[in-house]
Amino acid sequence: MAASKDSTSRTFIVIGLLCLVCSLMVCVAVVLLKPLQAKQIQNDRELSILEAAGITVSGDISKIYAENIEARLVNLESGKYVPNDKAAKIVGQDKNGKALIDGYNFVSESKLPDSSVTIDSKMDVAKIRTRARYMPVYLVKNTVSGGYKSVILPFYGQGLWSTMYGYLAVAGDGNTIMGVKYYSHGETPGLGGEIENPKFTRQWIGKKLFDEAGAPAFAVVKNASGEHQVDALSGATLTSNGVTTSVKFWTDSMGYGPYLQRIKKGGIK
Amino acid sequence: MANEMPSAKEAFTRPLLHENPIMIQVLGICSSLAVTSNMKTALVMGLAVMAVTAFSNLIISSIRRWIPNSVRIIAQMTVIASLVIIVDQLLKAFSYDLSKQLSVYVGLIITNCIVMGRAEAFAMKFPPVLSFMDGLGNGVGYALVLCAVGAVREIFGSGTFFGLTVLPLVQNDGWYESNGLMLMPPCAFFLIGLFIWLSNQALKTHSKHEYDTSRKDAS
Amino acid sequence: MIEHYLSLFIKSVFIENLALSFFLGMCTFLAVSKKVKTAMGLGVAVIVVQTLAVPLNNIVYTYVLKPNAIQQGLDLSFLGYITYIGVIAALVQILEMFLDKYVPTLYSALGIFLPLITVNCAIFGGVSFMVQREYNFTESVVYGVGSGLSWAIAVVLLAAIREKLKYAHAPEGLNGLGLVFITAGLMALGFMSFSGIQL
Repeated sequence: MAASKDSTSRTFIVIGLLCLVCSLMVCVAVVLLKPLQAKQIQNDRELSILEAAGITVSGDISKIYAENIEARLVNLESGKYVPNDKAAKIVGQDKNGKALIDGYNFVSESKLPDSSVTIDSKMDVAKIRTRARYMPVYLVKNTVSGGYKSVILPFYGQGLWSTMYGYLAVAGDGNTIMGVKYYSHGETPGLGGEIENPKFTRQWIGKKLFDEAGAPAFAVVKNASGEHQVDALSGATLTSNGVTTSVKFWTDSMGYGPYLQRIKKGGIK
Repeated sequence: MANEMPSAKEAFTRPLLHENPIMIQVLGICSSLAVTSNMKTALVMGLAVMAVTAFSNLIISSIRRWIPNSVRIIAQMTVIASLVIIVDQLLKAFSYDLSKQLSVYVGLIITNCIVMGRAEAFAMKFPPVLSFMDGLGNGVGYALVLCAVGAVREIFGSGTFFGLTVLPLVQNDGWYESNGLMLMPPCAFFLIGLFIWLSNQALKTHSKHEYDTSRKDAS
Repeated sequence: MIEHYLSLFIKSVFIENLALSFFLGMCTFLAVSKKVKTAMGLGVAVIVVQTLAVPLNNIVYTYVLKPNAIQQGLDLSFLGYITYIGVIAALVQILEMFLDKYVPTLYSALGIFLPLITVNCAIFGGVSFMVQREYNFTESVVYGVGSGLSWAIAVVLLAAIREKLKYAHAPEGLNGLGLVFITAGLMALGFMSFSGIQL
């Protein structure tokens, strides 16, 4: 018994069978659960975007999202939207030929040499080194009178421990902040982690991104005053600085600067 | 490890306190420290480990007669890894938010010494049902410690319990100034150290057993 | 470019110390830290394995498991865990055989620690972090060395403290493991002070 149990051929057969059974189990689980997972990821993102837009969600997230939000792809350098057919080439398309901007992973893209731009170290205040050539923006529809209320810009930058990812909602004047939502970060819970706290993010609403000369002026500082500043998080100076620099980078000329300029002149279109 | 066959009840209850995997056997510490800053992640992690230990014990024990000795570690690893992948996929499908918070620690169940340890020490020797109970017991024992640490850290660190406010925080116009240390990683070390101290004292007064001999450091 | 790798290295050694800020490899960390000499041996073994395992898994991930790596639309990333652990186990086995045959002196020093390393979650955790953070190949080499070193430093430091702890008069129940936990906690607090370093 013992000898045959350890014979080479038997070892191979047993391990082969074991692998087969295990792989079957795993594959069945993955295939069955895939649609559910995709839905969860989608809901998670949609919820964050809606929160940044200041829309309270009850009921079917995807439905509310579809009613209120329209995703577009922006060429950051020119600040112009990428037309649908060209966007479809970059991000893929669905059955109707509509570009799948919602699933566009700008973080992965920023690491590929073909689809990214290296940021000059002097400009790189957010310490992200490269950024994707194209970024998605989310237009918030005005469901009552038509047109758009605001636009939501994904942005990210280094905090104390981690890269902090967020959505910034900007009004039609391309200057006033309408809301902010950090959806992923690894800051110290209770200190830097408070960037998620609505008490902190509520302060942002109504603040201005640019000064009279059009330079980025928004900052998170201690004893904030004026229309450009928000009170820093206590005990989390470096996280607060990280927030300031990431907003500064993304509103400056290497980020959404050109796009925001265009909105300022012509409104959200 | 005793070689006579324990009863199913014994197999389940022994690891709860007297052979608690974390405090007595000192196995599977890694995840117990990292995911306990709040109750929710602690509980989910506990449940995940419970499921994996119980089922890996069950499966490995049912095929123990066929597993060749020379490759038994890798065979156990295959079963465990498959189970962990399934748990991970389930979490991603039904509780995406939590799976984001647990990040890599779900995967780390594979290298959690409790799972491997029980497979090697128990499931390879005893029949399936008994092994299942033993795995379940170890999982529960592990989850208990996790939840105890999680409860202390969440209540005193953020004034909440399962996300519900227990002690209103100063930031939210309450009276409790939260203890930031509780949320920091090192605090988990202190708490487990203190728990071990407590359990040592308690066990010593309750029985005359020489527990120090059973305290073998993990490998 | 050099600055970037240097900062990644420093970060992985001190700021994101695998043992003291992510609690990885705790079982071995607590078990094999009684003597500085053994801790040193294990530390070196971890550095070696980590330096090989992280880049190796990086290659496997980039060319096999990553979405669209083999074929457009094929996403094998769910097989990640089982693949990494397989690669690590195989790597450790091969390393063991290789050392045994060609560098027997090193084998006699590291040999006993190598089997321990397969189930050391520091290695597995390092690999998982590499995948999660989408490091490229060079970054993964730097991260592998750095994170291995971080674990080795932590275990040697703890062993050094434990050698002195033997002479301490702690309450009876706390003696032994309880005290080691608290010591490790204090070390972790110390390492947290590196967090402010901006590179």
